[in-house]
Amino acid sequence: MGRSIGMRARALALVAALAAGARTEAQAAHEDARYGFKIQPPRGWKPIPRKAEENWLVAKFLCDEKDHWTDKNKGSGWTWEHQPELMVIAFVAAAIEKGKQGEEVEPPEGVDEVRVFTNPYEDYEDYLDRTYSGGGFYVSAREEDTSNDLPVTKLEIKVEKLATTGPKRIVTWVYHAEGVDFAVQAEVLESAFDKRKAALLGALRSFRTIPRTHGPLPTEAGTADGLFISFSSMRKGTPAERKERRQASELALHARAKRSLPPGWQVRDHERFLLLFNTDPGAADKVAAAGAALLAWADESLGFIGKEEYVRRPILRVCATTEEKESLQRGVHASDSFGFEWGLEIVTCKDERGATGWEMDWVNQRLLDLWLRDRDEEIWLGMPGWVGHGLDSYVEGARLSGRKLKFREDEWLSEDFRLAVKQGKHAPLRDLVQMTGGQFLDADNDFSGLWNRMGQADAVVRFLLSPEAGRKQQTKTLLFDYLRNLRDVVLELRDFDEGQEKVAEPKTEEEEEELYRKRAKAWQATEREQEVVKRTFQRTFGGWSDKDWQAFEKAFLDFVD
Amino acid sequence: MRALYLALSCPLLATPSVADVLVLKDGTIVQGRPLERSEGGVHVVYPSGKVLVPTELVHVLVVGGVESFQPATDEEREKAARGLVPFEGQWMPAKKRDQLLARRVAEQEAQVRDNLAHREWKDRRRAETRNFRFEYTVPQHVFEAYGERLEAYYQAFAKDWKIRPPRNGKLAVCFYASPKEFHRTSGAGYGTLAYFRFVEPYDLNLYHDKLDAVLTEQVLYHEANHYLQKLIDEDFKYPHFPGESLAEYYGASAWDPVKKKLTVGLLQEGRLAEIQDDIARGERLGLEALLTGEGRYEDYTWGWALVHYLMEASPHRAAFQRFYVGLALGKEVRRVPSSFGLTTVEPAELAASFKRELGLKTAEQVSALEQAWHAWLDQTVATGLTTRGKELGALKALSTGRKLRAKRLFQEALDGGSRNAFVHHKYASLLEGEDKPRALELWRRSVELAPLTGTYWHALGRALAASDKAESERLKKLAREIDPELDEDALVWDF
Repeated sequence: MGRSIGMRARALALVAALAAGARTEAQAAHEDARYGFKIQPPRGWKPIPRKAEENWLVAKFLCDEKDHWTDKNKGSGWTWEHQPELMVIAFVAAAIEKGKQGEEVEPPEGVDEVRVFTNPYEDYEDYLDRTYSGGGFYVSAREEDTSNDLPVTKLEIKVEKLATTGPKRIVTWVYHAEGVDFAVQAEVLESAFDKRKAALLGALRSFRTIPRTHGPLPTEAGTADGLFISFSSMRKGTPAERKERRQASELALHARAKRSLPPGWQVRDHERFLLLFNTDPGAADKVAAAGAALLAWADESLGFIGKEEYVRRPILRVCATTEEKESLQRGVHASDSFGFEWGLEIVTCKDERGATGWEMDWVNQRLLDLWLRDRDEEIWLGMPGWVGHGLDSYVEGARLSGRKLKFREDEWLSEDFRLAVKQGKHAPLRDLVQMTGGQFLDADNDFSGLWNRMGQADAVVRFLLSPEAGRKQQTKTLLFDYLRNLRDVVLELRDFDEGQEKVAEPKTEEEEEELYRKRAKAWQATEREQEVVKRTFQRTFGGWSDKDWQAFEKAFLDFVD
Repeated sequence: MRALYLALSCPLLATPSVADVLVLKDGTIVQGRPLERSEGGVHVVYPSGKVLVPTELVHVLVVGGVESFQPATDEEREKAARGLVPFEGQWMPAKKRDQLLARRVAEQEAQVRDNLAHREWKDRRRAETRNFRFEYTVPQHVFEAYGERLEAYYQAFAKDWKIRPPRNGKLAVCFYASPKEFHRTSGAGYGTLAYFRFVEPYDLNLYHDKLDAVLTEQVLYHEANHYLQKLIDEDFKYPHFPGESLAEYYGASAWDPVKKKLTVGLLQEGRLAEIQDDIARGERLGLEALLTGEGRYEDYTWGWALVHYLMEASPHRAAFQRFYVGLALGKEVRRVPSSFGLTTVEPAELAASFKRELGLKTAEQVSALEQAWHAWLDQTVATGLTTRGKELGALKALSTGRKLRAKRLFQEALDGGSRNAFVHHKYASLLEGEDKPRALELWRRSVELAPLTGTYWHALGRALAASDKAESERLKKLAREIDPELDEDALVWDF
């Protein structure tokens, strides 16, 4: 008996030692003193930061492994991969109430009162209805319980119909804490649920509240559709007032981004960015240097656009892996949604393919967007299709080589265009530069020839920015002249629009029918867009003769060749 | 709509008799609420207010044990003196009538509870008919009505088109009780009324629009038709024309629940209203344009008209059917690969096949058919739209953002004597932003026409929110008392 006890004691001691070891090796619990909670994510799962403009997501973790699902239905056979995610979403009661009541803002002239409703999520299910895009879903089980002394609603959700990467299971425990509901949501492929169940439930069970020590609960309850307010306020007033508001917005967003960084992330205040990264500092610095060089190019080459405007310093996040980047970009959206970015934040990751990779393409394009948006939003939005596409494509290829910025071309599109030239399928330049967005895409028809036109637009912009064009009187400043004219036309039409604002509403059934038919044809140009294209064309090319066009065409094709 | 609107918390059958009961002609039963006779009808007393139900809607009314029935003839007086009352076409003792009503009330109360218990998709009911496998959250009686007519629809199509049995068993039809649940569970985008998943596993998803059952029925027929077309050849994808056009043709079907008879190929009055406007503007879609177009909206309007003409008013019915089946199965037709491992035909091949099957060898023959088709349309349009056609045309115009057209057609429908509460409700929602007093007037008319439909009370209450908050809240509460099954989220989505 005594021997037996001794053995058992030793065995227990061994178990205890192993357990202690496990505890020391285990991933640290995530704690949030502002919201007042703590959670233990499954071992090995990576914390994903929140975007600065994120108001609802308070913690996110990404599994370190991928699951797979093969669609065996006829005509498919595709295999999809899916990375489980764990999220904590906070529904602060005061924020929801504030959003519902709305907030009075300064009304425009002639309007008595403007109240902005930020359209907050009512609760977790409302949030799912409005954000989930991974397929049709339904609540398959609902149970009221308590866990760690908190009342909790346990939900099991099945994603079955039109499920984009395969049927999925979402298990969510909504903890009802004082003044706030925390939805702890785990999403996994249905086929992998049994394998992951223990780890996921362990994380859900680990949630508990801790004292709130960082001030009151936040009450910014806006959803994405409520953010126009800050954009619009940054467009009002004098350049100095706009600068002040933009700087205030920039500071607030930077502060939020820094505050919500998970462990392992570093911050660097770069001259043109707030740089946040969890990859090696050298890689992050390279991204920042290349981005800064592109912004400097924009300042110099396009500086006549919004000369007096302050351009905010974007938040530039450099993640260690593609998966982390995508998870961060998606924010609260479903784990198989595409990420999208609309705010002052650019998310990228260390490009394993180095300078030949595509990560900087996206970063450059976003940088130009942000730069143009702050310099002159109307030019940014009103740019005709050919020049917009051409400029985007041009900056996408920008890479820093030593201290020099080089612009590589999109070989696929260039090749398409060269082939189109050989087959005589390219558009005359005089036609191309008069195309509206809809005509450029040929959306009314069947998008035929779109690749050729995109390749041609890129080649034209590249040509106009090339030393070859710089050596010819006709083309030396042509692109900049065109953009200047575009800016002037947009400014003129801004006044025109203000006077005509209500004319756009159809007055007769005939006008309405006309408008309906136009709208029915997706991407059809508005009258305003047609006017922008027409006037800009007249100002830039109005004095050109047939001979001038022939010379332009020849110089361009020589360049392409 | 047959439903029992009552307060479920009320101990309904604790009352030994049916002292206060109101049965409407549409089958709605109100019990457990105080009733007060008044001029022009009866008031149903809810905690949040009284609702007047006009006499013309009343089938049976008993208040405080006293009949609403007043004998008018000697024969009636004699029967009344013997304690008899009229009930559903018969004279019977009041006690027997009360027992019948009590039983019916109890049954319907149980049905309401049962329906509420199956309202979420996790609690959905399942049922199989000969050719379909249903999953549904709509009330049982709604399912039964649609299940029956869908079977008849299958048989009618199968008879005309010689379809093959499905490869992988019966089609799953998922029938949701509300638009909110439909969008959430089916994954359909906003604005979608229904969809048929045309790659395996097939399924058909739609919701029941309580306020516009005709629309639900037409949508069901339209989407089910895509499935039935699929059964001609499951590996073939019909092009937009004639696929959508034939679906519209079959969408205009009607079921007679008494005779259990389905009539297909009726006039699509809403589509006809659109064509009428096109013609008035001098726009006519030609045959060649229809055959060679790709994904046009007109495939639903002019395309429907062509199919209807060929199937119902021309000597080409058999030839059109040969053409249609031939697109999928004909040896002479050149098919090309499409998405999901399916095949389809290009517009030029489609047009050639159409002409071949209909014997149109020359341009003159094509023109002659076009002229005959347009002449039939002119004649059909000239007979003028009915009020129902104008209602449908207005609803269609509203759903496609053509507000001016919708306004005109709504007004014409009202001028034509429309007593459709739903039409008043939608017209009110259209006018709310620009003419609030008129919108309120229309909503007030909606609640007069359908006083026991919570939706209209709720809409009226919502419209009053800015001008009279207390009244607004009262009416919204009243709406919930009238209709405990009221789905407020669905109302929000509706606007």
